[in-house]
Parts: sequence; C-alpha cells; structure tokens
Amino acid sequence: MRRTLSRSLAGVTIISASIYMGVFLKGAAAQTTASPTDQQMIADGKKLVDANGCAACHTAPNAAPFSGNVLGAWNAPPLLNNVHDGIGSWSVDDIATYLLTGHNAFAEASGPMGDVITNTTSKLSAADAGAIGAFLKSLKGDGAVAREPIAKTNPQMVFGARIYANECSACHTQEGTGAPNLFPSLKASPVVEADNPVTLMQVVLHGAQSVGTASAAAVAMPAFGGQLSDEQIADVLTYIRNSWGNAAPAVTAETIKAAR
Amino acid sequence: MAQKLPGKDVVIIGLGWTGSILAYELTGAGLDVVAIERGAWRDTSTDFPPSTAPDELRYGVRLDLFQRPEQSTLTLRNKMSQTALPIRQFGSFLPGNGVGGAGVHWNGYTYRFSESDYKAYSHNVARYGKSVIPEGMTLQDYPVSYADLEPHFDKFEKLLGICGTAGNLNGKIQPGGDPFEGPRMSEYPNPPDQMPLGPTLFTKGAKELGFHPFPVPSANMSRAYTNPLGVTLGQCSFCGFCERYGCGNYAKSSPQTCVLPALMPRKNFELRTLCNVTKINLDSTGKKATGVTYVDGKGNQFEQPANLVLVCSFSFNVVHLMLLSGIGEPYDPVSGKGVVGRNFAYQCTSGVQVKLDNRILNPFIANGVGGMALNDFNGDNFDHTGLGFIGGAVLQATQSGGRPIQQINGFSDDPKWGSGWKKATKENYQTIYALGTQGSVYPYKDAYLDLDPTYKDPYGSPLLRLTFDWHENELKMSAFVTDKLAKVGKAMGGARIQASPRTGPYTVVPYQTTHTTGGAVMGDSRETSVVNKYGQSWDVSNVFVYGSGLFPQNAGMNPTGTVGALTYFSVEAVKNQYLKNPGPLVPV
Amino acid sequence: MVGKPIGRRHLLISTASFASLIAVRASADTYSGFLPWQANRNNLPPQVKPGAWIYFTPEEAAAVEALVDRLIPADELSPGGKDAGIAVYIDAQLAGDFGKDAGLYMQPPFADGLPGQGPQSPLTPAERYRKSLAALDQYCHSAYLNKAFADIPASEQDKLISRMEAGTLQFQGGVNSKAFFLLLWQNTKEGFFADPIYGGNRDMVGWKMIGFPGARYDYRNWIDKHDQPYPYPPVGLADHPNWTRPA
Repeated sequence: MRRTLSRSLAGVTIISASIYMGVFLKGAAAQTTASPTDQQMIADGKKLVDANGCAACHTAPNAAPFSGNVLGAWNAPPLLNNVHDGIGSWSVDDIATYLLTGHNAFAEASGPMGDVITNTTSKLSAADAGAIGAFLKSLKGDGAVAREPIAKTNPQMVFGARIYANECSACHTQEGTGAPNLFPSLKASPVVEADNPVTLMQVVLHGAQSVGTASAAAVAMPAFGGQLSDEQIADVLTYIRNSWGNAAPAVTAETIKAAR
Repeated sequence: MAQKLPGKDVVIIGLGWTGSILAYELTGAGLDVVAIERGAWRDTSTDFPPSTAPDELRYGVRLDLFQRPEQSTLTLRNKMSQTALPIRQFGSFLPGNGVGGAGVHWNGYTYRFSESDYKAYSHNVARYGKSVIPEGMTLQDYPVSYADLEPHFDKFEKLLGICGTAGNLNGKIQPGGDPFEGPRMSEYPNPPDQMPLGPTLFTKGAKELGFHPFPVPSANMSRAYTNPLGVTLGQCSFCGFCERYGCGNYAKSSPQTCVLPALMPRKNFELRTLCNVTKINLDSTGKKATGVTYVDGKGNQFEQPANLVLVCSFSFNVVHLMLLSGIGEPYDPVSGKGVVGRNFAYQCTSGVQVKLDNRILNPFIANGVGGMALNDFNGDNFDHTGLGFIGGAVLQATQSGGRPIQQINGFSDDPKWGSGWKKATKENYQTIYALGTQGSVYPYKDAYLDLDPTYKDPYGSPLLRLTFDWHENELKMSAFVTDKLAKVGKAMGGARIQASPRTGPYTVVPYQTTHTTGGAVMGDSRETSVVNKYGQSWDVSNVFVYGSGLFPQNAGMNPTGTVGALTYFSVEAVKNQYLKNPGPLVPV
Repeated sequence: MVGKPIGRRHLLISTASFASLIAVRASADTYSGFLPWQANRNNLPPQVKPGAWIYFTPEEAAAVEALVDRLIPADELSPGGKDAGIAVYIDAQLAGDFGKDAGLYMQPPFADGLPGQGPQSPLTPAERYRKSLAALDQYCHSAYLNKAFADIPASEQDKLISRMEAGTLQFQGGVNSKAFFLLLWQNTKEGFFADPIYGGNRDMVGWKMIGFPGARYDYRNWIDKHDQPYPYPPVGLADHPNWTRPA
C-alpha cells in the first residue's frame, strides 16, 4: 500500500497539471519539477479538504469522518479507501482528475457534486487537487470488508442481466467498464455499490447530465423511469451491483416505487 | 414590422456541421456569435437514446429527424419544357433539420475526393483532349487543390475521429489503404471498424479480381476517442440504426458528439432555435450585408444585425436564400449568364444484389459505414479512352442494417405478396447482400436551380425550383461501374446477381442519396461562380457560404469530407485575413 | 411524451402575412452559456392496443383485416396479417399524423404530373383508404351477389388483389385501384415489421419470421461471428417478454 502510494505520488503534480492543460506530457518533464514530499502533500491536502468543508457532505451525522452520507436523492460516497463503496480503486491522479475535470476513468460527476466541481474544485491548481488526492488516499479503508455478490442464478440477477444487455451495455459495455470521460464505469464505483443506492435510482429513473468543464465535456444519460417497471429497474440495479467483482445488497421493487 | 435586435459580430444561419465548426472557431477568436436554426435543439439522451432510437417506423419511415416539406420544399421538373410540381413528400433526397442538421442522421462516410477530382476540367482535357467534354456539360475546376485542402481534411478527420487505414502517407503507398488517394500527412485518428461478413467477402472477391479494396473512412467509432476539443465519443456497437437515425451511444461523429459540448458553454455564443432566416439584408449599395431577418415559431419577425453573415444551411436552402436576398446574379440557362443556381449536381447511385447461398449474413449487425470500398473505377483512376464518358464511382460493400421495412433485399422477380413473398423474404434476409456505387455527377447547362413561378413557402416566398435529369455521360458511367461491381459480387460467391445501374428519367420517388451539390459554386471567376475559394460572395464580401452548394460538380464519393475541409480552409482565412482587413479576400 | 415532431404543428399558412403563421410549439428557444439538457424528457411513443377502431368503420375494418390476411396469409412461417395486428396498426396510423399527411407540402394547385415528380394527390391517406375501401366493397356487392370483400372466398379475394396490383380492377368514382394497392401493401409491410408498440407485428411475429432481433443496440460480441446465427430472441421498444419475472 505504502509503495503504491509513493509511486503514484511521484508524478502527480506533472500528470495532473498536464491533464488540466489538456496536454499529456507523459512524464517527460518529471525530472525538471521537484515534487513535494508525500507528507507535505498530505498535510496540504488535509488543509484544503478542511477549508472546503468536504466532510460536511461526505459524513453522516454522528458517523466517522468521510464515511459517506445520503443527501436527498444523491449519495455523497465515503471518501475512504473502501473496496466496494469508497475510492479504494482510485489513484491520487484519478481523484485529482475528477476534482479538476468532473470526469475520470471511473466516474462522471453530476448532481450536487457537479455543482461543487463547477464552482470550486475545477478552479483548484493541479497541485492542490493532487494534494487532496494524496490526503484522501492516506485515509484508511473499511478494512476490505468481504462481501459476497448475489449468485448469478438469483432470479433478479437473471432478469437484470437481460435488461442490462439491451438497455445499458451499448454505453456502459457488457463488462461494465464504460468509457473514460464519457460513460461511468459501473465496476469499482462507489455510487453503484453504495448501501443505499439513491444516486443509482435517481440517475436511472430520471436521467442525469454530468458536469462540463473546460477540459471534459458534459454527457447525459437518458431517463428509464418511463420505460422500465419498478421490478425491472430493481433487477437491473441488483445485477450491476453484483457483477464484475461488485457486491452490494439487492434492490427491491418497493424501494424503486418509493423513489419515483 | 421586424423588431431590430442588438448587433452581433457574426450571424450563422443553420447549426449543422459547418455552422458548429465556424461558431467554435470564431467564438474561440473572441467574436460574439449568434446561430439561428430553423429546427429544434436536439441531444442524444433526449431525442435518440438507445432505448428509443431503434425505431424504424418513427425515424426511418416517418423521417422524424428530417425537414418537413411544409416547412420548405422545392419543385421539380426534368426538363425546361416541363411544368415543375412541388415535392410534396421527400423521397430521393432527405434534407436534415434541427440542431446538428444532416450531421445527426448521416451514415458517416468521410472520404477525400481524389486529387484530379478537384481539377476535373483541366485534368480531363489535358489527358483526353477538349472533345471529351460533352456538349452542354459545364465542368470546371475547383478553385482549390487537394494539396490546399490536405491540412484541413486532417483537422476535420481529427475533429470527427475518423476510422480508417491510410493508403498514401506523404506519397508512400500503404498496405490495406486506398492506393488511389492523395498523399495524407497523417494516419487516420482511429483504426478501421470491424467488418461483418458481407464486406469480408467483398474484400476477398475484389482482391481476386486484382482490385484494391480498403476500409471506408468511417465516423462510426472503432474505439472511444477524445477529440482535440476535449469531447469524447464512445465505441460503435453496430446497432444497425445509423443513417436516418441519431446515434444513441455517442459513437457516431456529429455536431452533438464532436463540437456542441465544447461550443455551447461559451458565453460569447448564442443559439436561437425554431427561427427561420428569410432574408439576408443588404445596405443601400447592395455590396454589404447588414444582417438577417428571421421569423420565430410564433410568426414574430426579427432583424438581427451582424458584421459577418455565414450561410451554413443545406445546399438547397443556401441557394434559395441567396436568390431571395438578391446576392449574386441569378443563373439564366438560355443565355448561360448569371451564376446563382448554376451547376446543380447530384450523386449517381446504383446497386447490385448478391445472393450468397448458405450464408448467414446477420444484416442487422451493421453500422452506418462499417464496410469496404474500392476506387479502381472512380474519378480518373482508370483509362476512359473509348468509354464514352468521364468520371466514375466508388464501389462499396457497406450495407448499413437489416431493418425489415426498408432494408430487405430481393430480386425483381420474387413474389410480391402472399405466402410466396414470405418465403422469399425469409430466405433473402440472411442471404442477399446489397452492394452499391456512389457515382460522380457533372454539371450541365440545363441542370440548375431557380425560383418557382407558382408555388410558395409558408412565408410567402417562391419555392426553389429544381430542373434536373440524368445525362448520357452519367448513365454510361453508371452502367460501366455497376457492371464492374457485379463482377465483384460474382467473385464474392454470388449464386445470382442482379445489377441495377441508374436509368432515367430522374425521379424523386425512391431514395437515392442526399448528396445534392452546386448552385452556389466556388470558382476563380465571378462569371462562373457565386463565391471565391473561401466561400466569400463575389458581390457581398461579408457573406460567406458553406456546404456542398459550393461544389462546381460532384465527385464519385460522399461529400462530407470535402465540406469539412472547405470549411476549415475558409475559417482560417476569415480568422487570419478577413478579420484583420475586412473586404474581398480574392480581388474581384 | 415524445417531443412533438414539427409535422404535428398545425401551420396555418398564409402567403400574405407573417402574423398568421401559428405553430403549436410556439416560441423560439434561446441558449447561451450551457449545454441544454432536461431530466425525464426521453420517452417512448404511446403503445397502440387493440380495442375499438379509431378511424375505420366496422365495414372498413373487416375489409382491411381480410386484405392483410391475404397479403400476409397464415402459414408455417407466421400467423396471418390480421392476427399480427396489421389492421390495428393501419387504423392507428390513419387516425394519426400519417393519415393526415401532416408535415407534407399540401398547397395548391394540384396537378397529376409525371411519376417522377412524386405523389401529387390532394387526398390524405385516410381519405384514400375511405374512398378505396368503399369502391372495393361496392365492386364486390355487384360482382358477388351483395357480398362484401371480407365475405367472399379467399381465392376470389386473391384474384381481386392481383387485379388491383396490376391496375386492371376498375373501381367506380375514379378511384385508382393500383395506387390503393401500393399504399395498402406499404402499410401492410410496416404493420408486419414495425415495432409492436405501434399495434402491428404482434408478439414480434414479423421479426421472428426473418430472424431480426428488433430493438437491440449492442452487437459488439457478434460482429466477427460470421455465418453464425444470432442466438438471442427479439425485443421491442416496450415488448420484452423475458424481462419480467413470473409473479
């Protein structure tokens, strides 16, 4: 863990800065820029996270800091290195890119976080965004709580797979990987595996437009609320929450009905 | 009475491919730009997401994304001696409508014409002598060369993320590409699409005959691609609902997937939809445009002043607006004088059906282009001596779907209905593959556009009148290339071949192609062209024209690549020369 | 609600005055500084279901059901046109935009013109069905002892359809039997192959007959499987029988 962190920290300033400018320098300039030490970056990141009040949204009342929250129809996912519902799969660069552009290889920001990106984080310097990433990656995870996916033979999984193949895979791909900066990955996504899948339901029922920033354009997902029944939406959500290494509780038709 | 609005630096008429590129470039240069679009706003997730896009009746048959004839149509006659009647229902060609224009519903063929196509007159005369030009043909050179356009093709292809294999990189012929293409400075931004069975068999058959098949340059993404504007496209999923349809998964290049996400957030850009420009206004000298007049959906009339007027609508609408606004001298076919409406041309298409016994073609697994072509019989890539025609066609294996109302192939002697029809249809569906040609059409004295004396549009203006018929040169060309294509069909393993070369008279009824060209052609002389090589009006130097209306004649390939390259060629001159010193960019 | 195509606008067209140009989808929209998008805007067309006829009279419906059942007869390849819902489809189409020629250029003067100049009839498809079906039944009443087309034997129905196809069947009142055949056959094919949401192609029988998988959107895993039958059943826009768990 420690070694992975160091490696990703080494080039973060340059890579993030180059992404920010829309130019990929491929580390060629890395030797010419002194990178701050890991500890300095983490300390800088903590200051920025505190100053911007990230914990206010991403912490539920009386819960551990950054352990996630639900705000109306949207998840504010844990900012911890949780395997399933946190940012355990993201690198420092992934976090920095997300904050600066609203998009990365995993996720597309929409809802309240879209506004945060428009108004605040897209205006950060690349170094500051990297520092936030470094700080968040220094936080612990949930200790990789083992979760078992729901069996493929479960009726919800069987029917969900059929719906997914027709309604979802054209964008998110049959492997759930999506496409960077365009279609969010459904694999290793904090939103997909959230205990309370409010963002998923919001986006599937009503559609959503991701945030557009100077270096990454906005993209929209269509609404399915008018085309799929409560049961069909419950099945397809259960399917994506338990495929490709994901594991999360089933979603019921009653939950969808209540969310409409 | 028109309400006069605050002035803008630039007004763009029509927000399709050319309009959106120009808006992006000129807002980037700091200008205040307004685009006025007759149709509605359109976006992928609202108007054609994957859950509603695969609807053949709505989009393919009822033409949901197209111009409605009641909004604007034209009248047609084959000969000057006939009375033109209105095209009440579009058929032979389908003009686009709404934001994105034809860039929403196109297939995605993105060719470059060959070097000699841009010099069709001087090239053919030099090679075959003046007598090769038939009586009445008004062939002329483009005022730009392939070399002039090359960097602009490159830019357009990178904007769209075109998928293909270079055939000529900096003069060096490349394996797998089109050996007849002009030299390219760089490879296509994306590799070619995967090939279904039909194009695979075509490749094999064409190679056996010694021809040179290559993957058609395609705007159907072979992989996810982020363009230089920072806009990302997805990978094409071969849904088989491409042309006539919007792409549901951001996988077909369009203004929506390539330009608008980067353009629309700009504060110095404004878009007004459901507004129809009825006139370009001129000052009292008639040499300077003051802006445009438009009518909104409620019938309110507005005057939008602007320093620069860019006419970016479909080729017919461009000519119509020029005629209604009195810009340039209308063409008179009797005296041969005048230019606006002159040199209308089209695309001479034909088809070959190939029965492939015991095959399973799965025709529904297809994209807009996703196929192979050969240029061995295009332009002047072959010796025309003794053939009795000039020009040619690209030969293609690009069947774009297996949509059952419109795309089931069959032979002319198949039963037309009843149980026999059912049996033949079931058998044909998986075993007949349709090949096609896109042939050149050269211009003639009696093929032109003017204003109709009888029929009016909803604003009380005369409809545009099209006088057009096939000429012997094109019909001979079509017979020749279709015969070659039939030979490829045979070499594919065709147990039965039915070739349908183009025959006259021209009819508006079956769909042929929407590649209408000319009428506002570009040239070196104001005697034979409406605009100079930058698309700038000879008469009104702050009016620029874009699109296929500029083509002096049409080559044997789809026009969009050339439309894009001409747009970038022009906007560079607008930015670097015109804005610094407004006035004619070419001495009049 | 599907965004209203412009064809549904009722443009009151005046050649004299801009003021009378009225559109249901009224004013212009102006956008600046953002990429427009709204939630919940994409939806399917309304589902057409069998029930009372919308446009057809009972007699017309009987004739159309009989006609489509001969054009696409029941056999080992598929159910017949009537059971496929083709008459239901045509009825709904004639009651809607198509039947009204919505969006087409319908300004006078009307003249016959050359075939290559395209359709020039002032009659809408709905009117053409009404006149043609009346003429067909009128013909049958006189030729088959007061029987309607729907009541004559199938072999006789086939003969009449063939004569309409050839244009040799003479209807009264100047109705062109060949033109009606072409319109009917086009609509019949649509009703057999269009998405079931429009009332025809019931249970996707047209698609099943030829092996068209319908409204699917992702074939990436089958592009290079040349000569291999596609293994999955068709789905419609709103017709996906195997997506709903048994109660």
